[in-house]
Amino acid sequence: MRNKVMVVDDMPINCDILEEILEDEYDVITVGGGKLALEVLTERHEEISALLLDLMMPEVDGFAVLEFMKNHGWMDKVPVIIISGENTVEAERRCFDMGVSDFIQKPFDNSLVRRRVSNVAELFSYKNQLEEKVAKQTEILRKQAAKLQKSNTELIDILATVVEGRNMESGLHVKRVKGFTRILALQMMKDYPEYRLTPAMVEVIAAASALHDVGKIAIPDNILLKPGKLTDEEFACMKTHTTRGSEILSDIKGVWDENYSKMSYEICRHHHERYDGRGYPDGLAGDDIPLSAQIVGVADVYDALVTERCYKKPFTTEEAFQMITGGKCGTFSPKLMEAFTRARADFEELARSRE
Amino acid sequence: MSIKDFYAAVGGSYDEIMRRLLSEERVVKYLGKFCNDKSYELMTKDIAEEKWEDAFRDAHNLKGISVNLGLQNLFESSTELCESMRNGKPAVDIQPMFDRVKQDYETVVAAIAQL
Repeated sequence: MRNKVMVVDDMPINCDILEEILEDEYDVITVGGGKLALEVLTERHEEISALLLDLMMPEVDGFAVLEFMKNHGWMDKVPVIIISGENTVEAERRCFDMGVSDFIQKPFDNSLVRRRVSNVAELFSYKNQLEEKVAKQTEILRKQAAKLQKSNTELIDILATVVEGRNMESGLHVKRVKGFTRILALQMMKDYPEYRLTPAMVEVIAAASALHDVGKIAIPDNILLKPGKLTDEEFACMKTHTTRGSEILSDIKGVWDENYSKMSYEICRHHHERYDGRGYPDGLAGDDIPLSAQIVGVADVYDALVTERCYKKPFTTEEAFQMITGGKCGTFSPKLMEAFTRARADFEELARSRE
Repeated sequence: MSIKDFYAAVGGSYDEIMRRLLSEERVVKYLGKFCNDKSYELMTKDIAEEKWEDAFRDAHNLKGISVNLGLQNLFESSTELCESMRNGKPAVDIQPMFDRVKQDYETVVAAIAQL
């Protein structure tokens, strides 16, 4: 609570006169020198609504006090009025440069002193209150934005789960692929800075991975849910879940930001490409395949291997690791395989945690 | 001696001091404190010892109090002396200026004694 006025002057008479002028409205603290002023300020700066400061004092002068206050960031919180008789232009300029609010000339006039002090004290009080309010509001806004973001993410996950639900997958599959994607993407960020991944991008890739199989909504039940091996014709249809999915996604405009739209499209369309170019739908090869799709490709395969599906029993994590790195489930980039190897423990921990 | 006469003696304005400090009681109180102030003494000593920076500050203080208490003559003479010492050792002989300050100061002190 700021209700004190501090007067710093090495001439006791000056302090007395000012104290008497101000004591009706304020609690006045008088200090006879710069050094003591610094001590009092350090202890009580939050109580002071205005500081009346002399410039010319021995040892620690007014400018030293101003410097001290500036270094502590108090010039924004406590208005300073200079009460020196030293009114050269240089001195005034220097004072204003340091953030001084006003000057009270000598000789001291009762009503002028009161008016000037109350003007700055009120102004700063208003300013300080406003700053506090803005800080509080900003915090509220930040929390709301975070909540909204979370809401959006959850909605997308629900949508993805609904689509996956058709082929007997649960919401867990969506969450797991997200988890594996995040683990691998973080490893890639760490090991291969040339890909320029950032933590924010990793999050977008992970979030966008939820929709990688959204195109399955367009695949008929008899193919999607067939327990046995698919015929060539059936497989050709199944493969279109990549193109159909990306079509669906590209029709959604204005809801998502550009990054997210781009990532989800890339992942959806290209998560079945192969590093050697023999994947689908576009037969992209090498790093022509967007990195996000390459990462989700591994995550998707890994999850498929270690969980039960309608057409197979689950493999062990050891088997899954060997099959992927051994190129038995598609070919992947060597860098990706190195990162996958390094992240193996994290993958296996996530795989185990669903049990 | 009345306050009005006092200010006539020291070259100040009674109306001005009353407007600024509002009560005769206050004026008398501060004039009493003026006598305890050491700025004049210190200034005299510092000038004698040629400590120009300190002397400048003392003269500055003396000038400040004088103007606050409406002691116009003393204010003017101490301002002149103060400025001559702003850049260290004065460029001119300051004895005449110092004598004026001494005279004005002693007038003030004598007048205060009669209040």
